[in-house]
Amino acid sequence: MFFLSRALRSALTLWAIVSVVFVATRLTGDPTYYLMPAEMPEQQRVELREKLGLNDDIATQYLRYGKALVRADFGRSFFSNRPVADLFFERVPNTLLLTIPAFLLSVAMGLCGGIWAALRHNSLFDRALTTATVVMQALPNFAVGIAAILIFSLSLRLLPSGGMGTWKHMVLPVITLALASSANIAHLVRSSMLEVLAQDYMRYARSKGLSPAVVVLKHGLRNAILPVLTILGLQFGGLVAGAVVTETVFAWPGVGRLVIDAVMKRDFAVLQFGILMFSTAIILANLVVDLAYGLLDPRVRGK
Amino acid sequence: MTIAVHASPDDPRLPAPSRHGIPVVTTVSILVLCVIVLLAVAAPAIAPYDIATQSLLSRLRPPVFVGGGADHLLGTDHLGRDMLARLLFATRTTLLIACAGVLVGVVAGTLGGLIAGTSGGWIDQCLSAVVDAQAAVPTTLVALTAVALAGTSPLILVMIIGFSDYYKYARVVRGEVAALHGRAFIEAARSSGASPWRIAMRHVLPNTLSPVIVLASLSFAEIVVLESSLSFLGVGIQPPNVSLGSLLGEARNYLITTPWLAITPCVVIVMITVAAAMIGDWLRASLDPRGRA
Repeated sequence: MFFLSRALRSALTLWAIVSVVFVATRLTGDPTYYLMPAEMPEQQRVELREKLGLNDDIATQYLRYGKALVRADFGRSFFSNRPVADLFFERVPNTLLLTIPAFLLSVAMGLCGGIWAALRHNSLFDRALTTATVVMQALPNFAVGIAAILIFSLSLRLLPSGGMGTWKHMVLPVITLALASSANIAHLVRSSMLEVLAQDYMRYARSKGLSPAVVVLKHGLRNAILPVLTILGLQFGGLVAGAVVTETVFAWPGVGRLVIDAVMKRDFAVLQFGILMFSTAIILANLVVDLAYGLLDPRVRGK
Repeated sequence: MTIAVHASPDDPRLPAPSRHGIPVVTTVSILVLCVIVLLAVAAPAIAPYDIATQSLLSRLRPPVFVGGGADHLLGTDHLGRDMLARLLFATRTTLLIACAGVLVGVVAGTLGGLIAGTSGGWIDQCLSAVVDAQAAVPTTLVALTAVALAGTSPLILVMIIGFSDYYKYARVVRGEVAALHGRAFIEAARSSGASPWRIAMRHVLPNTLSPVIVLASLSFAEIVVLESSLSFLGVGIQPPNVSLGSLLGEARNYLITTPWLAITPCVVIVMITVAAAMIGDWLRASLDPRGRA
């Protein structure tokens, strides 16, 4: 029941996003002005409008769009005339090559840093980490990326400044992408862990004579991880948005670049599909988090 | 009793430890931000050149610290425009847009939260659904779509940036309205005949100010980052206007040959966002010990 209602809510959110984007793109003007030079004769403009189906009323267009979506027909790019799904999915692996390592890295760094700081509460490391998390969350992605290029590519000449190729090309973009979300996770793990460490069952586990590792990881982390899970879903969204910027900084040929180019050229079919896919990915990530929550915390399932 | 002194600062029952005296980091942050704001305000008076005047004969001059001349202290860009003047005006634009954006977000979010919390029922349901849906999608993506649809002018940019994070305020204010519901002073106002809207404006609103101020100070840095990210990507502030993001976006293309074009805007952005985040963090610790924001 819990799973079903969550899945239904996700589907509704997705439908709302698709509808809002559809209506908004139709309300903000005539795409034939982006597609044709302004001095084209009116006759050709009318023909193009007819061909694109823009003369029907918005309800008819919406229905037609919905039917096309169900058939998995997402339209063609206004410029290259290729199906938008092809354009998008041929670049997805490139973006995943950045986001997946960045996600794993930020979770690993966040968990280790947060737990260590909580265990050494009020130590020098703890205070340094607390300050560092505030600073790292405030740093803009692109400024970090450019600073990294200036230091590691131009001064030290250790790593390439952009493009795709060997593993060396991945190092800077992945770290840039992971920095902010690892700070976010570390901050939350620390405060959640501090709360758990003060609980009676932790004292009990210690007094039973369990080893510190078992106490911290099995009794502590299992309880402290729950609020962190919620953030992980949001972090995924942050990584997707961050990838848009990071791909631009490091000239990485991923979907983020594709969407930015679509925004610049007003290529609405590509943009619409990009937003649809990004939202789907984020909503799915949040759904997975909610389901994991249900699995890890029996109290949630009862509700 | 000295227990309170050693107690954990994360303990929600205790007041924040930094009540007395301002930490050094915060003082430095406030000073840095004040200097930057002053320079930005004074930009038209102190800028040595016009930001758009091109001089192709003096292109890509290095700044003083790389051995450049005193006539262009921070060097010139690829069209021979003075970088110091551009940096001053870029800072001015970035700060102006960020302030206006935060203001739009605060007003829209506070009003939305107040309306949702006060009226309840289906209005509350609708507003909450909108807020939840928007919180699920990253702000950069919402802003990108909005820019693609509405085009780019500074006013539209302010609106987009403002409406990209109003939901935080709406959530906090709505929560506060619910928390205040049934408190003695609200009941007293109601029993003396005050209308729900009078109660909302005169009795509830002032009580939500502290978390809203904390939230606004924390999100100022985020708003600066959002604006400069959009401008960096080329969909924010458009030429001939400059923002710190668009300066960095231009410098990105000349990173290999003239890295100094990127260094100064990069340093200024980082100083602004880090200082703002430090001040926000301190305000949160001292104004909002319960950690609502």
